[in-house]
Amino acid sequence: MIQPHRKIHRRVFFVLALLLPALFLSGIAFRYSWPTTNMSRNPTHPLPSRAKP
Amino acid sequence: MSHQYQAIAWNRQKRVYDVVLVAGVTLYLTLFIGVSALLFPYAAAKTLTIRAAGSAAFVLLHIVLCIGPLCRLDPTFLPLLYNRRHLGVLTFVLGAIHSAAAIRQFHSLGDRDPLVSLLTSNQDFGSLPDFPFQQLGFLALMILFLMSATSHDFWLRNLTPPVWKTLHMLVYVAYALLVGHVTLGLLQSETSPLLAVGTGFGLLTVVTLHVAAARREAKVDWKTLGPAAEGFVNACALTEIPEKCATVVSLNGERVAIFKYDGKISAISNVCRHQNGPLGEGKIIDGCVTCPWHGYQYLPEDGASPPPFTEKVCTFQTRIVDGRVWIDPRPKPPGTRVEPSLIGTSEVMA
Repeated sequence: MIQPHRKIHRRVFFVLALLLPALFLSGIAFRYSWPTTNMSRNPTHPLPSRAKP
Repeated sequence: MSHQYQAIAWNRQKRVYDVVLVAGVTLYLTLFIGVSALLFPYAAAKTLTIRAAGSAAFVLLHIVLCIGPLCRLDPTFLPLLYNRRHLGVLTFVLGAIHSAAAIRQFHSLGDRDPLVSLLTSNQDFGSLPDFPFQQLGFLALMILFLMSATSHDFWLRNLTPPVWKTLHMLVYVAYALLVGHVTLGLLQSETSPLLAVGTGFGLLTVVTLHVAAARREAKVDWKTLGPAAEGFVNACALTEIPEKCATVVSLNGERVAIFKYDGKISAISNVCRHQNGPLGEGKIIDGCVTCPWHGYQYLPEDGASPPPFTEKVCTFQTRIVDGRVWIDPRPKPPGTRVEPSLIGTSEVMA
């Protein structure tokens, strides 16, 4: 009666235990690197050499 | 228990549970909004509401998912399980507030219906950083709604415990969707390492606890019993069973709880009729096997709840030979009386 449930529960969770960390790490690894303040936002007009952003 | 219909059978424990729950969530929301308003004075009230409710729902869902395995690993946590459904309903309510505020802020100003806009404005399913994460959150909210709407014992009784439990296993799908929602949504725009570490820690905690509990459960299922004789299986030694408690063995894939009490041995199904809780992890209180989850009770001799209650579980015939308990693996129909095996002086000495 309950044994099939335990099996389903175990299988579902082992799949998620592999899938979710992979999704989480991929999401972090592939996120955009947003522009930071020490570089120009416009590549065709780089910051002057003495400019302090 | 359940001999007559009551919308909610309130008792002191449920009230204390709910008061602590609501107070905890109120404190969290107040602190979150207060601290955020101080740190980010230009943040809009709507944005703070979206983030406070969303993060509270996500944290609560982690707690809901950790309670089950924690109880299997350590019975000290059983009081948390007693009213877990109220935790789940509150998780849905917070998720609904988060969702309503977000739809209002991001999808209500265009010429399309807000829900249509939510489901169709981003279709970039091939890109991780641009993935339509809001749809994931919406799907998770629908699952949480379904679970909240069917959380009452009315649905448990009408759907039957196996169907109800299967339906409520969708919580894992909702959790997976929400991990995707947070990872591909918030963590793409907010690059603070604290948020990523917090989300990763939550995920690691949930996975580790479930794997640890599954390993422990598997030991019971895979334990090899002694040889069979005359249709009986050598199940365990008498000394393995604590007084007024049980040892659980697996017979033909089903678990049986063997109880020792007042110089006697009785065996009943390990599965409570209410929510399929583990009777073998309960104790004998006032002469009845008491389910550790919600206190449903059964007489050990016949597996029937004492009147006026009507729940019944299967019973098993037992024998005691040379200090060991032998059990007939064929279950008797629920509620069938089976004479307990008497523990003789020699067995007590053994």
